[in-house]
Amino acid sequence: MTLQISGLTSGYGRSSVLQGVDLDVPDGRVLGLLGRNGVGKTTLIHTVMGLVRPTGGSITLDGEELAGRRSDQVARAGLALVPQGRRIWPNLDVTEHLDLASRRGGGAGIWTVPKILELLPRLGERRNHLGGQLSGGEQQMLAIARALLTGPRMLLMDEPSDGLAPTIVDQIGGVIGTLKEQGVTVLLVEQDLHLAFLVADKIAVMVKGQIAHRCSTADFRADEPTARRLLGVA
Amino acid sequence: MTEWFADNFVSILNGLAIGSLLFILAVGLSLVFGMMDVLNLGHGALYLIGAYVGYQFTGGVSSWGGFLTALGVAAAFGLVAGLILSVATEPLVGRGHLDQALLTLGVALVVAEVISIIFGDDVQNVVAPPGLNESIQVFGNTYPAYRLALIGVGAVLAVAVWLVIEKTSLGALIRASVSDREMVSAVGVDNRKVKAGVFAFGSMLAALAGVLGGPVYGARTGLDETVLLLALVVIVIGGLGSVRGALIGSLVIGQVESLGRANFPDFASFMLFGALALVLIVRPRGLFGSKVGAG
Repeated sequence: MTLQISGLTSGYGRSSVLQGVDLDVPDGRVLGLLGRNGVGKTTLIHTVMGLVRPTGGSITLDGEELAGRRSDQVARAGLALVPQGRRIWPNLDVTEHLDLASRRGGGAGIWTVPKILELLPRLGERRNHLGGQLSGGEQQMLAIARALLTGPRMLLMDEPSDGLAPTIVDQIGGVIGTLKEQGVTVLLVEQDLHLAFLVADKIAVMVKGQIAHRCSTADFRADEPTARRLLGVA
Repeated sequence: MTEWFADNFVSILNGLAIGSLLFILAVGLSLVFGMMDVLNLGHGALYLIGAYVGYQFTGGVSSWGGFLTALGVAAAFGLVAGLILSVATEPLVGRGHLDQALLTLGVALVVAEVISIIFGDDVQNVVAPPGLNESIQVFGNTYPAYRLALIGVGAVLAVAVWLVIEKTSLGALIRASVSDREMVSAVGVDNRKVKAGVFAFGSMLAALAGVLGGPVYGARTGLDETVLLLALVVIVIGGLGSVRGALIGSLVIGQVESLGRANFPDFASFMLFGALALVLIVRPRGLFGSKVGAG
């Protein structure tokens, strides 16, 4: 499943955030998208998912044009979102989340509820708890489960490490690693370099609404001056 | 205390009857507003249509056939009107409440005027069906049987709606839409269909409320504005998008209206908005508001 983004522009009201993004995520790979706060990473994810309307450019999934479609159409075309802040429905229990996600959606659903519970056993233990009663890590697992159950060809993950303890971040990394082994394509937005380096094959860096740099994860780790210049970190 | 209770027993029953009717009216308005952020000021007009359908089909005669026909016709009318309103407001989703208020209020004004042209401005009676069209003794008080039946119908509907919302997968979809509809869309559900379904269901209940309220309040011009105002107060007090909130809000407003008018007739209107102001000061999201910072 190749996602190709070219010349994508988008924003909120009169402020334009994406200034012509060109990016492609190859089939079966994990692309880590890095960048400082406010460079447009979440806007990019939301635009690809159809939650923000693009003002120009194109987004294709295996040649199928997605730009300008509603998010439910994008979901049925095979993209699934693990959003920033997890956005679990607080007044639905875990089972209801899983049912709602698997009842709809379109892709070639290789992910079933039993398979999900094997991957994320903690969710099975918390089956009857409301989304709002779960810990941050459990909510993140549920957000991943919800996305997988829609039968996606590709996952968009927006800062899954956000606000979680390091041990939980490692668990999330393990889950993404398992998904990768199973051939799931992932566009991973991360501030946590440790997690990005752990799972990503390739790295792209966003600066001011555009992709400023692309390379393999190994090259990026070796090139500390570039990392420091683009991200302001070591 | 017991003496006060005995003195006010009839008022309390009246409050329960008003509360039941308000719940049937307000629950749909609350779900559509809470879920899709669409403010439908045409909700009162749907009640008005129901009231005149009740008048038309009972024709001033007490009959079960006429009353049940009226309920069926009003339900069908409400479903269709709800679908039309849902489609009409679709381009206005996310465009601010003023645009939605202008459109739906405009529709409501046209409907009220058309009804006034057809039926005139006189107050019309809707007659309760046989058996309910009389008074009975309740703990030594004479009380209209129809109002007791109305309390019963309200209770049954409240339980039914609660069960659907809390215990079914359809209800889960509606609850999810109330708390974060973007994420519902992101799992592949077309929001517009959910909105149309809830809009149609809520509008059907509003039109049914018009028929059910007929034997108590009759059918007259201006009733649409009165009930819309009460329904808005109920959902502000109860919290948007919450069935439990709509129920509690309805029961509170029912008692405030009834006990307030009976005990402090000069301040009845003040008490309604006093209760509203009090809730807004203490809990700005309403007693059971479900909007708990989505995102």
